[in-house]
Amino acid sequence: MLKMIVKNLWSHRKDNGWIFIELIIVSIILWVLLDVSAVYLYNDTMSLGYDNNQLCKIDLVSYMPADVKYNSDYDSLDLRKEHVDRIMRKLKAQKGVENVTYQFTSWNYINSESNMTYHYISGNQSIDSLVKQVDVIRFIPGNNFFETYGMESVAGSPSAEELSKMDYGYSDIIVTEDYARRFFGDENAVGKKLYFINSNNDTIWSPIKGVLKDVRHQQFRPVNSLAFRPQYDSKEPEVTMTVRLLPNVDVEEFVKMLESSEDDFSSGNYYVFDVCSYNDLIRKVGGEYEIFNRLVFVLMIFFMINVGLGIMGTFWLQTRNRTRDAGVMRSFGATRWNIRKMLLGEGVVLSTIAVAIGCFIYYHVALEFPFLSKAFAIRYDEGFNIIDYWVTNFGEHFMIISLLCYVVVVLTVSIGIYIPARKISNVNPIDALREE
Amino acid sequence: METIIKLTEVNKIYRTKEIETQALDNVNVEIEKGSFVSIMGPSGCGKSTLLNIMGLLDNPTSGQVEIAGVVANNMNEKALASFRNSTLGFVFQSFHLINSLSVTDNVMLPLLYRNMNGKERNRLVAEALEKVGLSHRINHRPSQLSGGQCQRVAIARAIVGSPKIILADEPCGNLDSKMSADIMDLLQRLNREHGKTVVMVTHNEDQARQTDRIIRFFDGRQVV
Repeated sequence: MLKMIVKNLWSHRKDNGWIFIELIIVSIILWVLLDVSAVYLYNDTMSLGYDNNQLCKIDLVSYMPADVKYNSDYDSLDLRKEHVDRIMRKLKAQKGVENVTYQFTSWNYINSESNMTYHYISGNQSIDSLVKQVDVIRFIPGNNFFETYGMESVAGSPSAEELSKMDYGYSDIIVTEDYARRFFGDENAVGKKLYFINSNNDTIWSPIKGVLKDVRHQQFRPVNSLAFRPQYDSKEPEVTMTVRLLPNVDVEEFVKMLESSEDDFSSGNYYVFDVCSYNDLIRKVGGEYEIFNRLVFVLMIFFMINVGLGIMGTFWLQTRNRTRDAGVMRSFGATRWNIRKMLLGEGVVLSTIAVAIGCFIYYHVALEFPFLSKAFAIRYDEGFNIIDYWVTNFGEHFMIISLLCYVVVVLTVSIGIYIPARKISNVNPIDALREE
Repeated sequence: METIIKLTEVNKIYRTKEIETQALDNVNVEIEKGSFVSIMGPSGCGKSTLLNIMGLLDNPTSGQVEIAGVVANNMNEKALASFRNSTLGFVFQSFHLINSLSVTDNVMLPLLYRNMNGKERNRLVAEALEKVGLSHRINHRPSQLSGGQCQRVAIARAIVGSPKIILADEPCGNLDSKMSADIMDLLQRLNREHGKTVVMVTHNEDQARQTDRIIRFFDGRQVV
């Protein structure tokens, strides 16, 4: 049967040639669109690594010397911390609040658009091979940071609560399991050391105090390596406060309550600048990317419908033209299924070769022009070491998307063939033989 | 003599919204095994309908069709296909070769629906082509052959699976007299030397006379 299928394809090569080229082009475009959509859908369904549902973020801003309400008496580091602590205590005393934490920064919190990167180096290995970039987030020890976010530590590491309470040296770090794995092969990194070179060219050793399960810093990116460094004070005029509410508390109601009583939560030079739920924050930060991704997704669907109809139409016409052949075959003992099987087989063989060539071409073009692979397969890998999950492992990724592409093309072609094949195989052989 | 085709009280009525046409009217035909029979009659008298019913390509409206001892009326699609494949070989007036396939592939067609290895298939195809004198044309396409050669290919296709019965619907209808004579010789040889039962529809009195028996038809009825 396969031999006959190949012979049929070859003997109809003039007609099949165009369809074949069309299928190759479709495969390439489909690959690109499926790829983006698959990455988008996959990222969208990935766990954030912390519990965002009951979280809200409060931005505190300090009055500046030029402001009327500015009071220079409150501007020492100690007093600033005291006033922030006072606001934190007030928030903690609110009904429905489970935990509160804060950071002396307005730009580098979990799910912020900005990031701060360090290059850590493994001390006992060659420097060249083990310099790993990491996204660093600062936290204030003794401030319920990890449990407020709902992060979890890996087995063998102190718990999130213990990590929040621990005393830290200036260069101590807590890393996510992805980062630990990159250096040490597994997540058992507590007690091990990394170092970095500071701006004075000094080598600063950083003992690892804990390892957390992977956390997505930014919702629009997949998991990336994170390290948490302690911070005891800061001259920055802005503070990010994160509140975890009890499970039965309505976050939106709580946000509204805070917005309507912002003055009650002012202390010293600090006042509430903005309040939002973490879900809103995620939507806002990821919105721009989400629009792009959704646009691509819609484009893909549109393309697939159009191409699908085109392919089906082409195969429909070609299959219908073989009614007489079907009549001949039935006269000599073919069943209806034999005819359908042969026509479907032709479509599957043609699609298989076309998709294989299409994917092969895409693979080489993507390697030749990195913007393609960067734009799609590893589109989020701009300056970050991203965890090796299938989306960023090009080989694995390529195979999965190619397979997906193959399934879509074969299904489309099969539908395009099956309906007319069914029709012509049901025609009485006598009537079929009359067709010219 | 053993009867190989037996049609009992066969009627065939074609119905459209407006009219009803009786193509076969209470036909009773018996054909003996190993005979060469021709069916004659004017156009539209039901000859081809009768041949199609004998070939199980069409169902009678009523009556019984028995081929090689098997009553075919209640056979399902799969059984019919298998029976056609093993017992019947068709030769059509306009050859009905698949133009995109080579001579070999056209002849091989009935064997594709049998459990058989490629070697065996190739052997049978070579034998069939040798019988019709076309061994030198195996890789040609039908479009590269003359009408007579196309009909020889069609005959090779009809006999490749060693069917007991060959049903030929005006096999010389599209051929000149010389080619027609060749085809008639071939059919006679298949009948005499290979014991095939041949049923042939024809308009040509000379060709009919070369057969063992002539069944004449008029207005859907057998004329004695």
